[in-house]
Amino acid sequence: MNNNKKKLDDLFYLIFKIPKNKNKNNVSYKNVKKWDSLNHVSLILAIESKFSIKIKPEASIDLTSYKKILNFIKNFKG
Amino acid sequence: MKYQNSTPYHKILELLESKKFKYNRKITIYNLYNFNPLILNKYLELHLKEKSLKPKILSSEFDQIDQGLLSISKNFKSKKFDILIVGSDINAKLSYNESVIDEYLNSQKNNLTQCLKIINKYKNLPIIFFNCNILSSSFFSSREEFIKLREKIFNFNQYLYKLSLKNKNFKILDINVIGNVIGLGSFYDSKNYYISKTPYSQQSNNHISFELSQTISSIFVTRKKCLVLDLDNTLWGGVLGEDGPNGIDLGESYKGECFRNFQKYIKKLLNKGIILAICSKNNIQDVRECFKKNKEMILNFNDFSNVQINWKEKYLNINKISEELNIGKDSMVFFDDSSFEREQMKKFNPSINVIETPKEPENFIQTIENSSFFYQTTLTTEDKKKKYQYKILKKANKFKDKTKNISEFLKGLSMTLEIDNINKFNFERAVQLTNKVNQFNLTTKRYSSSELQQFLKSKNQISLLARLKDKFGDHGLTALAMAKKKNSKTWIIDNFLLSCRILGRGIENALLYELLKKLKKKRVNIVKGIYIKTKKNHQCKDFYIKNFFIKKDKTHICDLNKIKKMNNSFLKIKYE
Repeated sequence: MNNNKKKLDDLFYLIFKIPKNKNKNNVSYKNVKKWDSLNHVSLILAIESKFSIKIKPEASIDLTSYKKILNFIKNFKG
Repeated sequence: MKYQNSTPYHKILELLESKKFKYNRKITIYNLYNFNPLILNKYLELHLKEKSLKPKILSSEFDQIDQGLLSISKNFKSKKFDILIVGSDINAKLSYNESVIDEYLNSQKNNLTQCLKIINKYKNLPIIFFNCNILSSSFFSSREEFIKLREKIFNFNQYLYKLSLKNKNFKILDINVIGNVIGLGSFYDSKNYYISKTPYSQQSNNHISFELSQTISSIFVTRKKCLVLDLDNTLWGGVLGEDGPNGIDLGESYKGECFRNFQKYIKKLLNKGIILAICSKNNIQDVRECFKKNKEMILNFNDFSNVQINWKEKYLNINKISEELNIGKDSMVFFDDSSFEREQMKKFNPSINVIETPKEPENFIQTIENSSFFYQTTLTTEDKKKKYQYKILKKANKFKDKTKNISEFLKGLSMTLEIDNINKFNFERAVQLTNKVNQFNLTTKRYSSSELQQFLKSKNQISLLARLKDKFGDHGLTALAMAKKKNSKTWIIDNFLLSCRILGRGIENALLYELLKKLKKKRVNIVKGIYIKTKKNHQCKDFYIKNFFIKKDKTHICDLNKIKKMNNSFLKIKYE
């Protein structure tokens, strides 16, 4: 779990430039300016490659906040 | 092209963030795609940075290629960029039938017409155009239909290819070759398309952007001049000192064939104008014997313009190669199978370019190709003569050692300098010289083809290119001088350079004198000469002061009314 969090923090830094150790419980596309549709794609692809998982298109649309993504990864069953 | 393992997307992001790059040049790229290029551009950014180019990538809204081209052709000046990429992939449409494909080809033809218009109008703009992918047959109901359409696409691609041969600013990105390397099955990723309007898989993004970066760097980066090779386990398998000339691995065995193919590849580089040298810890007699006796050897001992075979440190030997060939260290590439030697080279001779040689000889060729150090799309006739020119230079150097003093040497050479204006026959070479020469180069102004074309258009300029011949042969087009008008009485020397091969013969003084004479004929009074200091051109610092000019503030001034006749008894001047 902690490992997942760390990996995800890395990606949020790389794509949105949010500091790695910042609390991101409330971070969502609504309050991050850089989180537009293009960067959303970038984020999804980066998650897929970093966690070696495949995210279905319909699921990817729902992954709109840090918390949701972390939960998704935790419960991911392929 | 060979299949490369693709770097995963998050790794690309991490490398872009963390890796330190050395940059030689900034470039601005404008791209027009019919798909979302976000991911492709990230990969492209990394590949370009690895080639020392710092890119700024501007994208228009995607799927607006025709409008984009129209607005560029109408108003180019408002959009400042160095290169344009036009990529339209038919499979971005996902479903197609004959009418969709006809429509697509028609729109591509329109795009093409616009591109050619833009190239005609803005001579300096290179364009990279994606060709059309041959379709996979699964979308079609009948085999006849598929074959008919494939022929249409094939003809269009041939047409594109022919255009690119005629027009050197028009480059093709061959998406078909990339598709073949990856395999159509993994080339596209329909899921990527649905979520992001990017048709390609990660591998494809990696390959396409790599090919783009190769083409871009061939336009903006000058290639390296000299390849320095080790021998044992580099040009052949095994150790010559232990295995003997017929015991080394070269030829029929699995490994032997790899090495032989590698030698064939090196021979190709040689024919493209790359200078070869050997830097090896061996006994020189053994090596000579081996080149003579081993029948599988592709390369000749004579193919190498300089050879350092002894037991000294390689990072010291390579300095000798650089001095004797008069080639700057940053134009040299070191290829050696031993990681120890490579590390030493990097540590003690950091300006040498070191290739990370893979363990398996079957990957040698691909590794050199991937480095793009020797990548070039056009060959000038000068390139093909390189080896010959270094040969006659060797003869001249031997002659120099025999003569008593410099004036006897110069007289004995019976040199002729043939001067010509820059014209369409020598144009490519002129561009190349401005980009390659580092040491004797007063301003180090680099010109792209289009920039030079622009310069030559003006009536108020003089551009000279000179060929040196001596009793040993033709040294080729090796000196260049360009001047332009500043105001009614004053002209300025914009570019003045001499290939380092022919330094030390007083050619530079003679060429400057000829340029000044030409300017005097034009009734110019004052000529300004500038020396712009770089890391490498220290030796021409006082060039102007030694020749007719006086130093004034930061420039040098020559009053043409006061210049005296120069005595050039050792050199014949000929005008073409």
